[in-house]
Amino acid sequence: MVVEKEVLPYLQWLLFSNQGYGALFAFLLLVSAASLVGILVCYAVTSARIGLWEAFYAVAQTIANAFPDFRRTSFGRVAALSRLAIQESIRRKVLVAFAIFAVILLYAGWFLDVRTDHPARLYLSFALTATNYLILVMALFLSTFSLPNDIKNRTMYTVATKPVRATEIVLGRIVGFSIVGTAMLALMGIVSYGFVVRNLSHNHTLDADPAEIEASLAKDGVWEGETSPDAKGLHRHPIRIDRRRLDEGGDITTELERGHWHVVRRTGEGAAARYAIGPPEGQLQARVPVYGKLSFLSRTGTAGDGVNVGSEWGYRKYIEGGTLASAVWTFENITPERFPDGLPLELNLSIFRTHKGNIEKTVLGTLFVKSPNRGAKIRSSTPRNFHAQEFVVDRQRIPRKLQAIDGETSTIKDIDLFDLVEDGKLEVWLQCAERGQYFGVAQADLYVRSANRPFWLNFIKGYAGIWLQMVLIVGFGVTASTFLSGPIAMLGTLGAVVLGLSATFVFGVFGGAIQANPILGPIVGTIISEEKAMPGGGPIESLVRLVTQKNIMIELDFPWLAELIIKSLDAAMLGSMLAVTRMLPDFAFFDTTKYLAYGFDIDNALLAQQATIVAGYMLVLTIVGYFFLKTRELAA
Amino acid sequence: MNWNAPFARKIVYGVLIVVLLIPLFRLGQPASYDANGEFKSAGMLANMRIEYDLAQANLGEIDPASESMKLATLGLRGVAASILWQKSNEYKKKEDWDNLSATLNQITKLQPNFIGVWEFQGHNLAYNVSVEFDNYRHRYHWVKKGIEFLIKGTEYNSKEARLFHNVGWFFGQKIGRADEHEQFRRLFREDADFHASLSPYVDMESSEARSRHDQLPDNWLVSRLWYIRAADIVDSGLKPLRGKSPLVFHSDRPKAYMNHAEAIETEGHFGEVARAAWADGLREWTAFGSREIPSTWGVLIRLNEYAATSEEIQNLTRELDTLAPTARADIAKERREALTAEEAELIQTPEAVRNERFTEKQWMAYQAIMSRLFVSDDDVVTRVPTEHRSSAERIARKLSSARLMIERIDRYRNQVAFAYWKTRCEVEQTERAAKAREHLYQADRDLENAKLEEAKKNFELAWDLWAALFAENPELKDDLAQSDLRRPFEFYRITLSQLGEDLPKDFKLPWLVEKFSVPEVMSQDYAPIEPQVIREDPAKGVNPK
Repeated sequence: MVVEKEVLPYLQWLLFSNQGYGALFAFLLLVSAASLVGILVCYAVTSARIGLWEAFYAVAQTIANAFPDFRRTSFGRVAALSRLAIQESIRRKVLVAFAIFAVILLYAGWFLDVRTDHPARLYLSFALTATNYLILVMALFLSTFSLPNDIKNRTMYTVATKPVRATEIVLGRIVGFSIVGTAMLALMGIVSYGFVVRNLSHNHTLDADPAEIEASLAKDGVWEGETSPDAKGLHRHPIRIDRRRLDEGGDITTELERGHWHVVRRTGEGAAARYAIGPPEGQLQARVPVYGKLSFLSRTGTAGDGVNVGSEWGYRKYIEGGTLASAVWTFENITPERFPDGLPLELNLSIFRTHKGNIEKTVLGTLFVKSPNRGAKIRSSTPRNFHAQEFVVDRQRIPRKLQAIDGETSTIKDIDLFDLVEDGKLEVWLQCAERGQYFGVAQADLYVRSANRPFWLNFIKGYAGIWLQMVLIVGFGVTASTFLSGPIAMLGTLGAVVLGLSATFVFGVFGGAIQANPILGPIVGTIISEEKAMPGGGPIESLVRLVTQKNIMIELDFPWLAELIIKSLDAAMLGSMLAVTRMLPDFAFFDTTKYLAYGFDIDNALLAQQATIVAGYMLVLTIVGYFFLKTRELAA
Repeated sequence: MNWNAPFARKIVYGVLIVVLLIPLFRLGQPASYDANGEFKSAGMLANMRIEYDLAQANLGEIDPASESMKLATLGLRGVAASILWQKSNEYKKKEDWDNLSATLNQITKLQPNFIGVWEFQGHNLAYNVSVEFDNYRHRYHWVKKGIEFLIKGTEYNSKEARLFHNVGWFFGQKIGRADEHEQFRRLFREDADFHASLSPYVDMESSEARSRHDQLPDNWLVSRLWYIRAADIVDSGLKPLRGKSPLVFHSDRPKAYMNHAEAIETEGHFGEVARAAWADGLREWTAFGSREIPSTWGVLIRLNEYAATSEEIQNLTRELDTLAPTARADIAKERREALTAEEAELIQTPEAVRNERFTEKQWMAYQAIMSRLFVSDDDVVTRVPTEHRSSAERIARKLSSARLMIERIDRYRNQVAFAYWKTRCEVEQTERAAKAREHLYQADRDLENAKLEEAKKNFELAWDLWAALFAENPELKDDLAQSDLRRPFEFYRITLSQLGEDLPKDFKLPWLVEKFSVPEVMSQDYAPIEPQVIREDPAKGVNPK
């Protein structure tokens, strides 16, 4: 699985993060700045209406009144209001969303590529994405129209005249709609799980005559053949039955096809032998990976960076074969208690050939396990050679018993894997053994598989990500509806979601526009990396290019002043857009589909980070919603 | 009635709506048919749809999923397709093959009749994605995916000959010519599931799809069956061939037989099996020569008519010359005598000197004189006695069009090396050619098994046979030697050098030595590489100095 952004441990994320300050600091900074701006704007608007001094008192009083309002917020009243919200949702026939979902799943086979090589990935991505979009649209409609409708129909007065606080009205709606969304999500989750499992389950049989297999095993010690195709005729699995393995009582498995395998079981022996093929395995899993820190050694063995082989995508760096170039992963917290049977490594390489070599054979690679202590007497295990495989997870178990080279006597010794571990740290070195061929790796391409968690649990975690997004949207929707009419609130919330989803894109376009700006470019353009900056300019430049039919890679070729005006207007527009985007949650961060689809456990730290972000936003949104409703009530 | 302003406005609006509805109706009226199913009337759009065969049912299979997806995009089909194209590029860049495949599937659901999608993305899968995989089995799998993708395209576009032809091309060229062609061909022959999936489209059980030597489907033969389907569409006149030269389009079908013959010989199957394959090739090549090919000049051309047209020109020239027996020679003589001394000297320069020493100016002068000296049929007509002048003019006109035709036929023949492949098919069927190839194949095996003496013997037996073949068919020398003899000749020289011997003095194909030797000028261009001295500096690591 491609991991372009590393998941940091929760506390590190909260307090320190990558840029030196954590998420908490960023949150406080943003909230303070936004509060200040908010207060100033309110004061300006109020003073225009009632004069400078009066406005000061009015604003100060509103803020002062907020504290007892928050303090005295009653959970009982919130619960009562949320019950009303639930009843309203049911009246508005939210179940329609579920019906649409059911119809989509029923006809999914029509639209999906059933011949895919990894059906589990496809079905999971589809089920999760469909759920995500539907639930978000539902949350959007529910949350944004409720309050404006109540105000418009004047039913609001029946509530507002009761001893109910504005916080309770806002919170009641958020909680109520969230409960409706949760119930809907639970329903969709159960149906999706069934959909995925049902679509992936299939059977094969072994059509070969058992007597023939037995004869072959007796004669050659091995039988090779194929299973029958599955019911849809999409795939078969090659099988190799090894007599020795059978005698040892080991599992016989089919070859990997379409991302799964089957266990082959034999009952009886000789003429009475029968073979049965089990259900598919390995497609719905939740591996827990332990990632190491990756560094590279150059072809001369000195510290360096990996090579770029000309790939547009710089995710993987390459090491040259037949040289000292190596990729080194340093793992931490490697203890005998965690890995009593050795290190179960999983490897996902990219291979780049500069010459054809032997087409029938894959490129040879070498793995070493080394101690991070440069001066250790025994530093490295003897090499483990393997045939590299691409685009599949290659399992390499490093056993406890290893052979290593004694640095002093230059002899080979038997050692325990943990003799090489230093303060819980261990290095795994990868080299390409063939001259002229290259291995490409990224940090997440080699990891220790520390455990397997139940898939259903991971599935729930995946849905938790969707749930958090739903809650966020409900929060945004309800808050927007405290001061906007229904349709406008919906459009505003939708805009927030779209901007939040395309944060990377907005930043890229902004970066490109800044770099291309004749004045700003030389000053601040350099702080934006080339990789992130997108060519083509902002909205005005794009429009000009569309009309003049100039593609994004060629110069605009306008008079200097005209270009400056276009580009500066663009920079200003994009700058404000970026500022808004920065205030919004990055919705893409909540998407954990790829973890589920690729069979990796969703990191609890990631879930915790998502939950913290949502909690932060909900707090701010409730406060903002309160003030808007409060001032609106005053106005009324 | 109170004739007030709002009411007047409503009336105006109503009238405007009705007025606007008229052209809308004219444009969009659906086609209507009478009780017998005969076409009655239709709006402009429906008429155009009928005229250009654009109705969905006329293009190919109607897929409910595709139709519902088109509807679901609510008129934003173009936007959706553009986003999907962008996504597919992104997935390809990020090597996310599952999502790439899924996205292509969606694009084709949205734009099933956009031929570019099928061609571009089919090529993408079979040619670009497949090579990203290191394991040749995975590569084959993606080549298959590309082919299957194209085949799906033919279902939606049953009248697009180009798509059918492309399927044939992928079967032939991708499986049969890739670096991994040995492995791909073998995998294809054994891929019973794939064969079964192809059965609804081409007859995989027929002998035309299967090699004679092992009765298994062969990629080149299957490619031919797809070329036939493509040609059938063009021949039936359902839809004209667009974006492809008809000459090349029709030549691929017979070439598939020849490629098949070449391939099985490379794999060691000689004798009757290979000869029969070449005979098939010749039969189809001759048929191809008799086919009427639309040309860029707007006339139909038959490649086989070269000989007949040539004979016609000879007869007509003779006929014209009979009317003025000495005219051609007289005019030539007069024009030669009219040349100045320098001009006469210039044209008498021997060819070798001309090629080596002539300046551009001299060449231009030379060309001008030669065109002045040329005696055309019209020149001859001017010397024909007046009483026969009109029939001479008629003959000259016929000659002129025959000459034009033969020039065009010749150009087309050259484009597909028509004469070369015809001779090649004839020669390859001979016992001698089969033996020559068999000896080369055997020599290769001997070399693999380090049997140098046997290899040398087989090479030499092969050279004797090749020498005799080239003596009889010198026109094959250049192309055939280049394509088929370069590697064996290199191996022969390696064999000799390992045996400590030089090329024998009586080597039967001395021109091969010259043809395959590295030109001196090239070896001068590449100076020997100076070995680099690598010094280790403990502080900075290793630096090449």
